[in-house]
Amino acid sequence: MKKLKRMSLTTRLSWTGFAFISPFVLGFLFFFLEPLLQSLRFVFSKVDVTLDGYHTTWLGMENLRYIFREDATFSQNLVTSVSNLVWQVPIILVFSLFFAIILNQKFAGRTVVRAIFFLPVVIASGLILEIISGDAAAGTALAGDVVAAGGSSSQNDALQELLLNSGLNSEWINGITKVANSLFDLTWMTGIQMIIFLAGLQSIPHPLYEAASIEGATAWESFWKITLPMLTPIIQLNLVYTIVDSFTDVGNTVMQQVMKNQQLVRYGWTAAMSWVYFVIIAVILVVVFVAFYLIERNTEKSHA
Amino acid sequence: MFDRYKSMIKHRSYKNPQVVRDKILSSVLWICRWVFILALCYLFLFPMFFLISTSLQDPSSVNDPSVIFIPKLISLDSIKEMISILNYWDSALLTLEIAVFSTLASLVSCSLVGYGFSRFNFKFKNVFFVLVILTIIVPRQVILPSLALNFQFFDFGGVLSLLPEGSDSINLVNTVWTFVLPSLFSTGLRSGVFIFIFRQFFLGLPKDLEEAARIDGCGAIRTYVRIIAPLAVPAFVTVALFSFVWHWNDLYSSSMFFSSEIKPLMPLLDNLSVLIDRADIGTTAYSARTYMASAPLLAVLPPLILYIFTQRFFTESIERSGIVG
Repeated sequence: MKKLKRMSLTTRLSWTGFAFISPFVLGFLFFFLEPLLQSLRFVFSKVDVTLDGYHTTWLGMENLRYIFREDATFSQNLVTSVSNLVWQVPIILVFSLFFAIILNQKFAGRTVVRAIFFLPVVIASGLILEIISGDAAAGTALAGDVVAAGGSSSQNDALQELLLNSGLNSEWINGITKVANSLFDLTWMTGIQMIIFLAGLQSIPHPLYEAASIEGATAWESFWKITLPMLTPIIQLNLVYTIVDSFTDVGNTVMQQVMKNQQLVRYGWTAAMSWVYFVIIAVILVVVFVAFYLIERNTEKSHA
Repeated sequence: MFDRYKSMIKHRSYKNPQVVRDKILSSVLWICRWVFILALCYLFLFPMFFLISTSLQDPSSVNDPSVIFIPKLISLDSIKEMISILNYWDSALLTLEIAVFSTLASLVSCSLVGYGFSRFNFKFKNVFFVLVILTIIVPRQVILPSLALNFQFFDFGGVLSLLPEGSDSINLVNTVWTFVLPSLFSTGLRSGVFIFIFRQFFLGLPKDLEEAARIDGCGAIRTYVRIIAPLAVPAFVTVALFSFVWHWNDLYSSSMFFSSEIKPLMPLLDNLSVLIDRADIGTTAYSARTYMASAPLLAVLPPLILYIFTQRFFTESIERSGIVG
């Protein structure tokens, strides 16, 4: 105690600050870093669980060789998941920005509309949606084409026929119908991103828009010249969040496979699969960061 | 002066074609906007309509093509049956315990950590914050297998093995501690996000209050409890709702940490068709639909009720919590 009093204010404050974050430091060591390194070790070893503990034996690259060479579905799942990510993320971002812009306007009944638009945050379970959309599609097939939910099978056929008649090649048609079918699910993945965009929109100073409208800018122009540039950091935040969040998506085939192996107590394969997937995502995140860094530098240059 | 008003009145009259054109344009825009909004509202409400109407239908009339949304024969059979198949009361209670206790733990620890990051300067502060970001970016699936093993043979970071008596480890698997303990040390489910939200909020508060409190001789903890925490209600509400909902809807962690018969709801939903088959209630492909619908309805109801009651407070809090600073 005496020692504490003899410290200068800055030292004392810095120790207080460290005390405040100490729960995180402890948690990081025991519930994050240790399991992380351990699962990295699992990638290269065989894990045997016994009644009073578990032990690992070194295998080298065996697990990695297995998941790529012998597992029939992993490579394919990996490609599907990553390519889904590439086309789904932009759609999710555009949707959530669009919804946020609607909610940010002032109109009568806004509170009710906002409460409804936030529902995806509460029913944030892909699992429930999966059951619903599978079930709704089955329902339409059974009950005639009445309950046309987003992406029902009958709409799908109509769209496919339309595209076929317009003479596109079949690869394009498959792609377009895939996107159209998943639009319903994608709208439901916009919850958090919409909230973040909404907060971002509200942090843009209003005088900017007033000045622009006095100068004769239309709403369309001020969207491209004010809203979008001001939102750049938030778009980046949302991009990262969406990519990271795709791990928890129930439709993620790699993660489904990981879970299946985990239930069969194959720790080595589970660890190897999730690490491979994580490394790929990390590379994508690095690309995103570099791209945004370049964009920022370019805009600074053009202003200078 | 008076003339100007006169000309303004004349300018606004309906005889002026410019004014008429503006009026038409704005009402067309108004209609377009509401068509959009209503369509989207339908999209967001559709699952609830669908679940309620399908699960209230009598299993025998599910296949009736003339039934659209409003069931002809209302029955609670499928819901009752599903409550027993899912072991609903026990599973829901378990899920509720996980969500409530982890949320409380997250609120306490993440707000403290966020406060520490926002207000104090210490060595390697930025390094520590990068570590927080790292816990957000590294998906839980990567650490979950070894985390589950650690919980199965949990020894409090080696402390338990130092004690002379008793076993070397205790089994925390199938208990709520698998969620609460990491949350208590702000490394639980999405704790990094919560730390981030709290930090952003505290950064936006004026520093004068704390300085005044310090000059008056108020210690750091007391300043936090008495002055800072009451100001941070919006951040607390936002984090509480997010945390509750995310824990409630979590599938991956809960399927790893729970292997007993009574599980949280999401892992049960994941195996729904297996459960229905095993229960052997004589379903056909058609009547299974009402069962398939009543399970998600039961699972989604508690957070939905919570949301309906806190909705107003929540939407306001989100705007004031300054998530993006």
